[in-house]
Amino acid sequence: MATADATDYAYERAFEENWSDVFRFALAWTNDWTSAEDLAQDAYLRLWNHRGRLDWNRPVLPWLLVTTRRLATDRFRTLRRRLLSTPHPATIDGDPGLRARWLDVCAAMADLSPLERTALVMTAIEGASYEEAGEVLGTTAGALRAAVSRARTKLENA
Amino acid sequence: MDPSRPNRILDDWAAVASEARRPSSAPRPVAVRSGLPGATLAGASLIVVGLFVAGVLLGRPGPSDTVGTSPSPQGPVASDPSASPSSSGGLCRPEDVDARITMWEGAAGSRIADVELKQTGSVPCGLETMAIPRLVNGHGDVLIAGSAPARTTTIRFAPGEVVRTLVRTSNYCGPAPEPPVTVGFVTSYDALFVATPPSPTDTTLPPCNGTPGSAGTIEMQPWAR
Repeated sequence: MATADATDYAYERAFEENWSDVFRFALAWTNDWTSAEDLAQDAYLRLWNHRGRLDWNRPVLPWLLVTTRRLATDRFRTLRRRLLSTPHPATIDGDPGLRARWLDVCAAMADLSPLERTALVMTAIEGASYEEAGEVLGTTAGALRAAVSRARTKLENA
Repeated sequence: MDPSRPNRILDDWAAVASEARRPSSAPRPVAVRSGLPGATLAGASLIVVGLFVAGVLLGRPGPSDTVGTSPSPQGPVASDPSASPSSSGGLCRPEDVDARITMWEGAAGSRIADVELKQTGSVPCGLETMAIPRLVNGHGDVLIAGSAPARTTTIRFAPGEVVRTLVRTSNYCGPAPEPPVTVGFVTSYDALFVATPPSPTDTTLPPCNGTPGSAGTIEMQPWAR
């Protein structure tokens, strides 16, 4: 019982401390607000399922981000969700002003690939090093530098 | 070319993203989905007992994840997120299998999909021999929905093993679907195995035998080696 209570508490703390990071990562990858909310939720459900086997003394965010990326690249995930769940409106739908601003940003980032967008956001906004971002994104620092360079070029020329 | 444009876009992105509202509570899985076809309290109890037995018999080990390192390839990341954790204990999950339509066969008034299911996991899992078949389009919309099987059995499905089934579908009288058309199988514990179609543009459909808008049919044979 004590273990369950401890992992429950750790899970709650991971949710409070890391949800925004997970959501932003998912948003960068998908460029879609609703999908990002779904991905963040699914990543935390994964964490919940594995909370009893995790070493909570180590940072949980890298695990969450890698899990989020893998969920996002599961080619049939979207199909399964559409078949099994009832579509729900994104929270942004309740805020027309925020939604309008997001649509502008979304359109500006639309020409970037998921990797280019996420690499750019992680390094330029979140402050991650290329090495740190590479571990999460499953690629090398060199490949990420190239992706970020391509992303900036695309944004400049758009 | 505008060199300052990327930074402006990134500033806007950061500002908008920072306004995202965290859900009021941390996500928790639902123990038993209320949407199970025909589920009753007794039925749900049987499923729970069955899953427990399957879990014990199959002895599926969980992944040994460590926070701070990458999740293992057999980690939790590719399974059906909508399935509850207790619902897949020992039973095959979508990430354990790879379904694909090897060919479509024509038949009078019907089309029959030859479907192959390969166990791609690293440990054996339990496979229900019958599921609810569905014909779906490229958006995941259900074109024809099958019925829940009257009975099913669970077989041991070892890594690398392949089973096959035939899915017969008839009488599609709806509009032209978005490709690719393929078939999916919904298990009793709400996992969904979607078959990879023969091609990304496949739109194989059974002919309309009735009036426009009339219901189609789809049925499967049990998975068999």
